[in-house]
Amino acid sequence: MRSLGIAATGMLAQQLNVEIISHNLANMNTVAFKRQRAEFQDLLYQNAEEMGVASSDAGTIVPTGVQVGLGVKTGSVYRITEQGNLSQTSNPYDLAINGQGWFRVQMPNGGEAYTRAGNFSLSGNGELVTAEGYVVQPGITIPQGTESVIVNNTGQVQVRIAGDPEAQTVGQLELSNFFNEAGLEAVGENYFLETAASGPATQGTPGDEGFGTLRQGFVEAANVNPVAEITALIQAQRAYEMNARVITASDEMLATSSQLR
Amino acid sequence: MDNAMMIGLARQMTLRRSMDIAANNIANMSTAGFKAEHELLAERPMGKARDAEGGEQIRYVADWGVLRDFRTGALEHTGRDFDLAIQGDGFFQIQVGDNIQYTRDGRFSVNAEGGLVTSDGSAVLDDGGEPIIFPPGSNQIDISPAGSVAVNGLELTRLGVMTFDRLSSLQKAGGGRITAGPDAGPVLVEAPDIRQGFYESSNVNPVLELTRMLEITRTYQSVSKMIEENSDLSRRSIERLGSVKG
Repeated sequence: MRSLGIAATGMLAQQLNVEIISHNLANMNTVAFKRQRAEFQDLLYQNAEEMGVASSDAGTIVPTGVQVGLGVKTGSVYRITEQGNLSQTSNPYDLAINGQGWFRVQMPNGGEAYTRAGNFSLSGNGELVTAEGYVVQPGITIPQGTESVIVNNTGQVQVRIAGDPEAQTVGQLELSNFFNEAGLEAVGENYFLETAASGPATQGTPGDEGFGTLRQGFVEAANVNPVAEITALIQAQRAYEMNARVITASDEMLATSSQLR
Repeated sequence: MDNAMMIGLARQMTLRRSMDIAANNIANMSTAGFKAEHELLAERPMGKARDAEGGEQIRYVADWGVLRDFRTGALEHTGRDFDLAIQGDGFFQIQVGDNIQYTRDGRFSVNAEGGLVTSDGSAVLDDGGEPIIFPPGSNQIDISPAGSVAVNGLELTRLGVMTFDRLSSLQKAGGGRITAGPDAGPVLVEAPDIRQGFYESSNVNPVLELTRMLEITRTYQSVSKMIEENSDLSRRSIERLGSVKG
């Protein structure tokens, strides 16, 4: 009975599906979280009988040799890098990217990571850092005595210092872009690493062709749609149950055979 | 008398395979572009039960093919640029090694070189059989229902959507891919109906599969019962004949 094993692959697939959905739901309120989707594919086929290929071409149903599929496998878990909603916070160091692009961050191990979570703050010496304290690249230092900070749509950072009527430009934020954003490797805490699949990063200024613009005082919300996730969860649960039914039914068949006198 | 048992066993063998096929359909309920399958059975006439009396011919049962239901599955909306679904006839052409294979699973993505690929990295081909490569700076990618691929408003190429003279010589290769036999006769679909931002879900009907499964189990049980009664009959006749005192 292959059906026992086939149903087991089905149950494993739905289990993974539920895991992905629960991860999406758990991160519903994570800044700039990108939801994931499990993609399934049919597993290999066994040609039980290749004879009897009929020539019926009409209609939707066509006979072929006996090819028995051996279940389902996970093709990939795809990250959907669709734009999330922008929610207003009025915090001057909250920056949201409207459109394509990633902030580049210096990691403590010396490497570089990319993030869309723009809930930044200032370090003790005035540097613009992420929530974990990693420096946003290129480094921007806000001088002491600053009254207000203005980041415009194209990433220019200006400060107004007490007693000085003129705003001073202290830096220019940059964005990075990838051919295949879905190929970035997630390392947790909203950080992503460049991989061979994503392609090399290309740097640009916000507002350039192919790059999004910045919004000061906003953060990008997760792009999880709770209603869609719950619907997918119900579907996955029902599919899991159906696969379990296949196991019960196959077991019943085996039991019938073994009870023969 | 053994004939009835053998015929019963032949039926049980086909039922087990039907169960495997139903299990595969249910396991692939969430597989995009999956096409449900059902078993085809046929009579297998054998020799005569009893030659001397000109008795009945024995007919076994055997499976000789799989019905593949090529109807379009429900289209699922995602809004993603690289999710494509074909409404009606046709298959996307993909390059797998040196061979061309086909798929209805249109959940594509772009690789590091800008090429349109399937989830396992096989290149999706255009109507000339060439890979589709997006130039750097492609922001706006529009795919028209007729399959024309436009980048930033300018037409780049056209997706190669193929159909076959003989759908019966298609074979499933796993991974959502389909291979065509030598006599399949691929033809380019002139006016395909492609939907961008949708993917085709599996066309398995879970309720149907579940009822089929119940039917398979119950039939299997009744055939078992038949075999058992047959064996009882043999046993009883042996006992009765053996008890005759000479």
